[in-house]
Amino acid sequence: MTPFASPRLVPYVGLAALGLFAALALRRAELVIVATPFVLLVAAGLLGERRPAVHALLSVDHDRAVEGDEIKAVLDVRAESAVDLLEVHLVVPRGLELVDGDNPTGVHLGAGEERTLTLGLRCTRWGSITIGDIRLRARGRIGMLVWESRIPRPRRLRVYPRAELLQRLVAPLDTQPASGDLAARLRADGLEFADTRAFVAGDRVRSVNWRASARRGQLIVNERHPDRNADVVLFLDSFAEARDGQASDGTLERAVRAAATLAGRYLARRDRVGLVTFGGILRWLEPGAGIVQRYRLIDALLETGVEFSYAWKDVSVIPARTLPPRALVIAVTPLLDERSVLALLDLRARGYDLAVVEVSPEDLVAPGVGTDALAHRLWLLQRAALRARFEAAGVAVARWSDAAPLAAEIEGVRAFRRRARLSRR
Amino acid sequence: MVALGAVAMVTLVLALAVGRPEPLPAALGLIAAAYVVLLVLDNPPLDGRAVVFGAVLITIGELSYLSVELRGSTPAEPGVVARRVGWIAMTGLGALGAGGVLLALADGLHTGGVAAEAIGVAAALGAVGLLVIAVRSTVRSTQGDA
Repeated sequence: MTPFASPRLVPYVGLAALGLFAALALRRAELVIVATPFVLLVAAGLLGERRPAVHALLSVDHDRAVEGDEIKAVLDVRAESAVDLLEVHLVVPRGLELVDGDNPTGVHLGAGEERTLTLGLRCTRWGSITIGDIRLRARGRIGMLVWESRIPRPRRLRVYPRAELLQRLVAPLDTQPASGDLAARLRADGLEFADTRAFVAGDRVRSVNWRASARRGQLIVNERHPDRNADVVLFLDSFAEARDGQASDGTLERAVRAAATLAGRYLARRDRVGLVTFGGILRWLEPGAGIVQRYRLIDALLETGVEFSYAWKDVSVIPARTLPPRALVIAVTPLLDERSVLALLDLRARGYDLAVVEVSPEDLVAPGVGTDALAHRLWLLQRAALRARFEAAGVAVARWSDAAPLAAEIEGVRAFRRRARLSRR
Repeated sequence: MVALGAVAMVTLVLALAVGRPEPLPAALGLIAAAYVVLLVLDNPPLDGRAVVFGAVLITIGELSYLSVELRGSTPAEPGVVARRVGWIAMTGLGALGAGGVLLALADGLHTGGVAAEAIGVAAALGAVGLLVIAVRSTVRSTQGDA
């Protein structure tokens, strides 16, 4: 521990010295008597108090949590020698907030005494959070010196994004050969009824529709849609974000929440889900299925951050296997950076089935007054034009803001895609 | 003297009101200066009130710094403040005792002539030397930590 002078040390030394020299100058013994308590107190404080030996350990009851969960951090402090006042401060990093207990707090420890301090913390933001920066300040009985130390006891805490309410998903235009929960467009063995046709050699007897055959006077068989899965690639735009102060959620927090929700729902439907984080740093995860893929995806999402970059990037930097043919690409983006906008239009031009979930930054920007209000209106018009550009390319855009749940916007995308399909036919 | 005392009190009250330790040395110094003025004006052979004054001055200082420290954001567990107050009371009593011993010595040596002067000078130099040693040892240990 490193010693520092307390605020009393220098004034007391100064008062004592002044008193003693005044006593000499004025030839008054009384001033020596007045100065003596200060001299003795300072001398005892500097010579009599030893460096305290204090140990601190941190344990956290969970290493994984979901946004909004509360966790307990337990601090065990032990002093080898007596400490009159030990101030203990656990630095609470961004993403956590104190809900229970005193932090910092002061305790008195006798020699060899151990104390357990419990703090309740709430996870306010998803992310990979490192907690464990402990600051200690010890003070002896006289207190002319204070001893400070910083003890790193890092504990990694993974806070997963909370799930958004979502009832139905965007159905992909094409399915993959593997089995899943999605009725494919093609006709083969399956559960979902598709149509009837005349019996041909090779058809199985169990496929014969006996009622239709009796009506028509010839053998009629049922055709069915097979149950297949789909490849879904989540395209997360991390070039830029909009934020209204540090306290509230920015577009990135909500985008990650939406991406995690979509990933979980598609994986539950036995689809294969991949991830492309398109921003200053490109990250990707090839499509896969199952619970392991879910944790891979969420862990990848937790590392997402906005890294500023001037480098121009387009879809050519994305590994080909990350975007398999006939995959549904769902872009979660605030539509703030031209690079991601052009990359999405490029993907559409290459024939990918694309849907855009726009995490709207418009609520986070105040209109202002005068020319600011005019600029704000122009910006809104530009954004509307951008959305129209996507829709003209056959891409549904769900404009998700705080005003409506994600489920409502996804329904809008489903409706648009139904109309778009009809118009293409 | 009254003016000095009044200024000292105002400074002390202001320091305690705003919860800052910076004005406290000035307040303590002004109180001491008021006593010096009193000594010079009265010019007694040996003022016995010095013992009480020294004890009260250090008690005021300790209590004032404790008051300012308690304004900090760190809430201490019950008992810590009471222990500190008890310790300050002991400091005041110790100051009374030490002052009494010194007063007795001074009274005994009051008519000692040059020998008493020499002892007084040696005591003052010894006290200053003690302070210097203490500060140097602290500085050395701080450098060692750095």
